[in-house]
Amino acid sequence: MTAITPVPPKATNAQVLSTFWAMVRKELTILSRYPVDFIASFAQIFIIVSIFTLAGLTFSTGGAASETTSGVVVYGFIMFMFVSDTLWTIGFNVRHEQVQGTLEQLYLSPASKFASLIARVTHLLIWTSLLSFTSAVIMRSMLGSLPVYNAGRALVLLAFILSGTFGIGFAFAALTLRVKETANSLVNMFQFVFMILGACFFPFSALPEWMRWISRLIPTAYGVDIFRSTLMDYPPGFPELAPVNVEIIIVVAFGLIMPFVGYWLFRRAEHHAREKGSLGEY
Amino acid sequence: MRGTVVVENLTKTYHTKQRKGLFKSVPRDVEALKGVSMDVKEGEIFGLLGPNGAGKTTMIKILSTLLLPSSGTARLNGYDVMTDDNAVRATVGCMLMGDRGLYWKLTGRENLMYFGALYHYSPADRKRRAQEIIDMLDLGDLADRSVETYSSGQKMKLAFGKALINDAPLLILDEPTNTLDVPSASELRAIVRQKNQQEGKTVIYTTHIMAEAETLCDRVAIIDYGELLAMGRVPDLKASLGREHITRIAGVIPSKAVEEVKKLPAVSQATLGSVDGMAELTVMSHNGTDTLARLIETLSHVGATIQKITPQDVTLEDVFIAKTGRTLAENTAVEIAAKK
Repeated sequence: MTAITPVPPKATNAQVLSTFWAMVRKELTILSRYPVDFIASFAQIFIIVSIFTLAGLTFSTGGAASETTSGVVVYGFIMFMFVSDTLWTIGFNVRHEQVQGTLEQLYLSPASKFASLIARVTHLLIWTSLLSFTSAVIMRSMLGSLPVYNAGRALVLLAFILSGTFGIGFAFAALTLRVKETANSLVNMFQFVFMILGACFFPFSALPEWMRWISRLIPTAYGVDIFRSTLMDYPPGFPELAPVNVEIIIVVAFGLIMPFVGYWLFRRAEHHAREKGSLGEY
Repeated sequence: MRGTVVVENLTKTYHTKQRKGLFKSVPRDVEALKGVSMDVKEGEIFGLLGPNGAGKTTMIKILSTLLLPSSGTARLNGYDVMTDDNAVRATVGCMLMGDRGLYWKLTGRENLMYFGALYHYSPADRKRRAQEIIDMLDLGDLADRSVETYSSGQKMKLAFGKALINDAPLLILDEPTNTLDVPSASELRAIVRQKNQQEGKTVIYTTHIMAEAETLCDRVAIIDYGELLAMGRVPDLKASLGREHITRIAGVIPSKAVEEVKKLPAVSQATLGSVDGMAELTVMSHNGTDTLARLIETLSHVGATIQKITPQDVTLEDVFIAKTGRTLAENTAVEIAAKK
């Protein structure tokens, strides 16, 4: 009797990391094959931030007020970029690979599906970090003032916010596997809603009271609020949705719980797709 | 158990919805596999034959863990597709969707190295393995060009190379010669044979080209409407037709001729196809010479114009016709859901 085929031993952490990096590098390589997009994305972000900041400054009275205005807009927009990347890119990327036929290839291999989900957005996070830092430096030199306080705490909070939005990203990827192209329309709608209710380009005080109540139901809105309030060293009236400690608890809980919920939803959708044979459906 | 496949009573039912007007839909079940059992032995090239929609893609997708069966079991290399899916994936090399499944913005080499990474090869091993495959498939000139510049044949070749990346003892190749020109198809078959004979790899090979299966496969299974109709060595399957005589009649033949011919007492099967734009009636009979006169008479009766009559040896295509009652070219749509 012939022996059973030996399964390659369970991948070590180093191997999983090496595969993960290969996935990230693949995405970066593909991105680099579209150089115009690469440059345009930078120019676009710089233009948008400038417009909002300059418009905000027109109505501000200068001094601390203008510092707050630029902080609200620049950090709100940075947050918007990070959250948008994480929320939608995973799902879009899954759908793109499904159409391309490469999603089935991934499922033919023993590679970690979790790593592949994270890898889909890691390259963008690297790019967005670079953009954020550069645009913050440019805006500071342009405006002469951009508050930067409690940077370490803000980064830790950013990590929790991103962790939570990764969870929503997994859930959106699950939805994409289920509804396919319909997910695009949902994103267009939610992106707009998030932009308004998340108060990315203006303070929450600019929203009518009833809208602010809806904002209080959205964890990422607390993320935007606490991130920029922390970097602005909590000026009077900030954070706007809840006291500092409450917002921190919400953001930390969101960052700890949501990835598990999102991934659980994704695994369910994946199982459903394997039942229906729709992993390669296009 | 290395390089083996054991399938027992495998069924797959797709639960779909059939649209009825703008807002209404009714549930519809499509049975793509109906209790199929089969086995593939170590070191053989096993052909899975059937027209589009027969159930072979469903079978292949279950064996490669992309699809979950409704019931039954399938074990590859000793591992169950349901409970040991990662072990199955690690020990099987698959080429399932032709040139889909490649990253067109990456080069051929980058594709191979990326897929090597999915099997946890170290960067150095990925590089080495990619080069081996590039050399084996003679892709040297193309390797560092982006895949979007490849012809469809070259993409198929690279997709085949991708299936070899993990050097698995079992290869699953789903219509690998689709879109290849004749010399490239022949070259690919030669490599499959070489992998089988020199490295002892077991191969599951699906095709709808009977001549390809006849020359390449040690054993074949014929599958249609989700059922396994026949399985065995090609000579044995041909012999199973007994003393059947095969007569091919070309000309202008109306479709009603088939039913009329089937009514003749010695005729066991008759199908109408077309070759080079001309209708061709294939007739199986127990008594070729005696039946021929009555055959010609019947065809004249239904208004057929006969241009050529050719008695022939039994081919695998004839076995297929005998088992299914139709030619392989006749498509059914049972498995459209699985194909997409």
